[in-house]
Amino acid sequence: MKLHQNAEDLGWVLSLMQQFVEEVMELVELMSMRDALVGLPGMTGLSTEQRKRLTIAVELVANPSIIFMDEPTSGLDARAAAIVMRTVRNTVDTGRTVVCTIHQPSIDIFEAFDEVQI
Amino acid sequence: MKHEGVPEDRLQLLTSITGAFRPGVLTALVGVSGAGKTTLMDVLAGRKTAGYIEGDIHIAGYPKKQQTFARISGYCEQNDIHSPQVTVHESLVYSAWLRLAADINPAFKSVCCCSSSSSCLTKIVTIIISSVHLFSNNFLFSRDGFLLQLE
Repeated sequence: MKLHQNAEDLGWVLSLMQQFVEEVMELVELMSMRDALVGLPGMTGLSTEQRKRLTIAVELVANPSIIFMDEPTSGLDARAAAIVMRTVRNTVDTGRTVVCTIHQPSIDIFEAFDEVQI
Repeated sequence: MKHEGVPEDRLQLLTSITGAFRPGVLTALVGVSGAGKTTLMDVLAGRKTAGYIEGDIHIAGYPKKQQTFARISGYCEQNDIHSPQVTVHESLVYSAWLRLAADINPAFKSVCCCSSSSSCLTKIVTIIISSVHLFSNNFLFSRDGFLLQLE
């Protein structure tokens, strides 16, 4: 497996990739937080929910076809959980396979899933 | 545990598990506390190495090969660790870099560790798409992923 190493060779894909990066950030709705410092959990910077979305984005830049998420809504209030689930749904709608573990989900979160494995 | 009458040194946590996860379908993995949901995902993703993993894991009938699977999968852990002193954008660039081969032109790398000016973004973009190409050449040719949508 050999990667392309020169920007010149890849000129034609630049516009495509620009769009790719923008889409990943849009997908997890972090566009407005683009230049914000991540900070320490619970103290400075991103909120818990924004942090969860960053975690998803960090995995998405590898363009995986399957993503596992361990309790993405745990420790979040109803509104924050809804925002995270919306971005998870966005990810699913790109055609990826997404598997989440959930624990004591609220009805709204539970209904966001298509399938359940017990 | 031994005081409670469990003499074994090792306990089996998971055995004979099968499942199907479909693309474009959001699947919930549900179980009581301690059922092994997280353990199952740790083992599947290959992210944790603590404990003993024995036996075979098959994906779509083929034995799971960790190097391959790590390329096509992502794992968002419950308490992921992020660097506090970098921005959201820099986090993404850093993550993208960690997934590329070590022999990629280092000059390229130094250019991309700077701030997010537009020319720099163009370079980052190049690097990320080269990784995407790596995947598309090998695994993602038939999937309705980003690249296919963009093309």
